[in-house]
Amino acid sequence: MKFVAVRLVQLVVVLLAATFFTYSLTFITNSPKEVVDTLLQIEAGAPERRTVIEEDLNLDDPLLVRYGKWLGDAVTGDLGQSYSTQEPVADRIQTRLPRTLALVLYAQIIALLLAVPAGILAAWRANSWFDRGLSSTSIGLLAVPNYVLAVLLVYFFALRLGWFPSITKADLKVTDFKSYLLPAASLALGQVAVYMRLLRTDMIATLQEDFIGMAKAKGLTTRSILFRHALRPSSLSLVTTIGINAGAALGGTVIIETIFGMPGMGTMLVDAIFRRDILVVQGVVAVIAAGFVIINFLIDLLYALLDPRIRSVRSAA
Amino acid sequence: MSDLLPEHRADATVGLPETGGASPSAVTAAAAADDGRSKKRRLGIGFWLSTVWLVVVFGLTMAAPFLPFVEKAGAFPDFSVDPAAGPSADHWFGVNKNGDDLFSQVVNGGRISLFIAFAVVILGFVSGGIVGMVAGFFRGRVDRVISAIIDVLLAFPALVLALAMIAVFASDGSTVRPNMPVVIGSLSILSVAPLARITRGITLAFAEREFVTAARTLGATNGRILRKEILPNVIPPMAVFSLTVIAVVIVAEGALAFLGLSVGGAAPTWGKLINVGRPELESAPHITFFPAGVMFLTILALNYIGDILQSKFTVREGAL
Repeated sequence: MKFVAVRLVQLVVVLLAATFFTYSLTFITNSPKEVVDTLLQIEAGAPERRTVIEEDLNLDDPLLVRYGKWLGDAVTGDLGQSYSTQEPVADRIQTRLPRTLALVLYAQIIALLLAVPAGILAAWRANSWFDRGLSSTSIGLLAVPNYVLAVLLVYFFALRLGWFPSITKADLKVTDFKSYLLPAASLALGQVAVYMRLLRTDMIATLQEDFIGMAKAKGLTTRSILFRHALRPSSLSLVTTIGINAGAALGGTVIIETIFGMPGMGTMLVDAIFRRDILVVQGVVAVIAAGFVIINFLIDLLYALLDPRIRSVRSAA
Repeated sequence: MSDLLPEHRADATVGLPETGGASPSAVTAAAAADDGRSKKRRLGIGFWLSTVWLVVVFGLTMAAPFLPFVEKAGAFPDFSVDPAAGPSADHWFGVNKNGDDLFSQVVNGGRISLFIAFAVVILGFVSGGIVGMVAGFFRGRVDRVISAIIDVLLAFPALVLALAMIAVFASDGSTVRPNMPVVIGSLSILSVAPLARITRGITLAFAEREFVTAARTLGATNGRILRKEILPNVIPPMAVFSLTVIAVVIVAEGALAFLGLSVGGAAPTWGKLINVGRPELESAPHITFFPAGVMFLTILALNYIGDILQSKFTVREGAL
């Protein structure tokens, strides 16, 4: 499949660009000596550690060679070690990554559970009071930053009502749904508005099609027409957007994790930035970039499977 | 990034009728006059409420140093008032636990938030505009490379990239202390890519139009065509789209400030004010809710006006 190969090459280029960007930035703005100074400072090490660090970072090599060595190690799962905690970066990522992925996944599930029925109903009764109400609500939802929403949810559901914890446990399990609900909902509600608008538009177009009239003429129930006949052909652009959003939601987790004290990738990144722990920052950004690339690739494949026309169009272009 | 950008407006807005370089408001007014109905009725009450709100917010923040009821940042702490007491005649938004007048803080912080947002959008307007016009006008290989870069930037989690840039550029010994240029530079990812994409789309549509062919026949150079024929048509829709981008940047700057990674200084910006109030959320929720509410209304107004103006004078691709 030529289409798959082209996409794969594109995504590998993205991955290389993103990692090289973060890697080289460190050394463009600081001389190698300054980098070592910073690392020595954060680990409060003795001066003789300087040579060890210089060797760790391959500072004798030119930038491109150094990056190549770093990348080679990264591919084999070695992202170096944190100079503030003396732990291997990859180990910390391994315990934290599932929590962040779970957060993104739960947020998408909540968003879809709300957006799909709402979008379908809005399209079915387009321009009714229900549709208008929903579209005003969605304009409102789009104007609430996720961190403001998180603070509101904490205030009402954690502090006032006490239904959910406002801070997650340090050894958070991915199946701890009660702790996940508020953070996931904070990420989800803005996306509900996007998904709902998208589905509504596509659904209105689908409902004009002949086969819907045919289904009505056959005497099928409204529910069956909406959910079984109209939903699938209307969901193609929704699927793509979910892919893009799931990748982008990785950015949103940074701040949501911080608010809920969730031990995931986001808090790790912010923590490392404050400690000036360069290797941790590089490692986390590389993993997030890889996650983003993989999600997008999978969605592209899924999309091509759903609609065979895409394959031919894209490989022709 | 798309978690910040409401829907894919950039995709939908491809071409628009020639407006001869008139400003957005002039275009809307002309359209309203053509219809023989009053401008007010066509734009709706929400549009005017939003405009009034924005004028008030911009006016207050810009005039803040000259207003007697806005205290200077960090001045005159008033410890006689209990933070939990909430708003009063002396302190319209109440005070925080440091005795700062919250209304003054929201105004002073908004000054910085809005300054950053405008700087970022102007940066994106100029650089994104140039890049987008070049891609849309010359097409071919240049366009393919530029479009690929834009696509990646649009889809990559912008906050992560901005944080990585701040981590690198804002290092000050062992701490992180971002200054204004670093914050503006890091956030400009959010404005350059969307504005470049929309400019490319509009340029693409106009480059095919008769008046461009006419200019070329008369011997105009590419540079002249871009400046005199394309540019005046590209600017109005870019300006309208910029309203939405301003909202996105305000949110993103708020996120950085929330994390403590935006500009430091005496006047905390909106995002930081929201974060600072969190420990007192239970006893004095207004400390968090006032800055959050002001931010929400400002973003809502920007989005709403942007939406209406876009639908007023944007022709979708299918209609061309």
